[in-house]
Amino acid sequence: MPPAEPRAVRGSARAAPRALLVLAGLLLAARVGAGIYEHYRPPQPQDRVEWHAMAGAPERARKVDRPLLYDFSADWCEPCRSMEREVFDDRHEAEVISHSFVPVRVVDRRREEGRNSPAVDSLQARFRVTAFPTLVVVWPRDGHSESAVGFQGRRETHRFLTRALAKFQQEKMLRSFQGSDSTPR
Amino acid sequence: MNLTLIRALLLQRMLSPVRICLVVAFFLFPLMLAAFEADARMANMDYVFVLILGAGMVGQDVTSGVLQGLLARPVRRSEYLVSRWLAVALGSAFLTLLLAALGYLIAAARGNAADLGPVAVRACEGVLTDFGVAAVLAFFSSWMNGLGDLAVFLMASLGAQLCEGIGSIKPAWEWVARVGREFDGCLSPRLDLTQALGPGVSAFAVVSYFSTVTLCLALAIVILNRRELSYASG
Repeated sequence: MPPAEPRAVRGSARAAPRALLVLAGLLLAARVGAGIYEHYRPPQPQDRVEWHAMAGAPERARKVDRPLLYDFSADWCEPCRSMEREVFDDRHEAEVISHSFVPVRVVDRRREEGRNSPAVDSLQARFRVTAFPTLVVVWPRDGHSESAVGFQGRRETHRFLTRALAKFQQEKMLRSFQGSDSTPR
Repeated sequence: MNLTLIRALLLQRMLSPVRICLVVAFFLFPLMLAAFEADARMANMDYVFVLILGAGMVGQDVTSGVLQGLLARPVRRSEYLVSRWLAVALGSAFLTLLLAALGYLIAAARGNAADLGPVAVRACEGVLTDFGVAAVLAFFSSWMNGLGDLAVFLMASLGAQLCEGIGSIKPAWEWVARVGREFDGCLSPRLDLTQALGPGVSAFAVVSYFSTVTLCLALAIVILNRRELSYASG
């Protein structure tokens, strides 16, 4: 290693940078303060999932060979907000959902506008949605679906999504072994 | 900050065949994924370049006797440590940005490019993570010889993952998972820019990142200042 340029060092070579130590102390205090504050007043949740539009989502799912994930929700639904906070606001969960599924949000507007768009009605009828939130995972090829009704907590939602994804991957592997994989590339 | 020391570390790393091979492998892997995968998605290499470039950033100099010789010159220990940290962070940040840019170009060439905005935000987050993890590694390296910092870092990461795994077995053990998550957050400080620049900004997340970085550097300097280096070692 080439030697450092020789130049005079004022004070001890072991002098501690006071500014850095003070800054570290102040930031540590601010960290504790902010932690306590946000424990009582949590910041506004942020939806991090990359949602796709309803139209074109099935084609997209077939193209990338990923299952569709429909999130049936409504603006007035409190458990839907809990699911947003605990699942869709979580960076890790949101990444898994955005990268492993083609996520689509289907919002019910009957209470606000008296009726839904035909596309929303048709999806609700197809998957027999009777409560919000309902998550439905749909295989892009054969239309096989799995649903989870209501929000049972982050852990259960994670389990449902992981199980559905594992099942889909198994089937995908089986398909490729059988030589019937004709995924458009 | 000492530019000579920064240049020296980068030169040291470029002359190490093992590190160069690892950098090339981890650099090409996500690019190949982006080039051949149907969905052209880049694998997340996270802070792997920091670990490759930063392992033994102080400890190896102690073991090889370089540090003892270096400190005989008029260089402050704090200056040495901050320069090592900056060199590792800047080198890793350069690789992270280059990888993001190449990945984006490959995806664009395949007609599958994502929006530039989120890609840029993700790259900037990667750079911040590089600076954060480099500070944590500098802290471990200030009291471990050789590549001990990397071993401690990996073991601590594994411990954090284990805690998260154990905590997810039973709902009553959720606190174990929480401990694991917090520990993992300390080992790899990140700043979520989408959140930090968005409406739901969390002051705790922003302050935590900078607090971890400054605390690790401050502790590393204190430890290095108290360390007695034997000129007969190695």
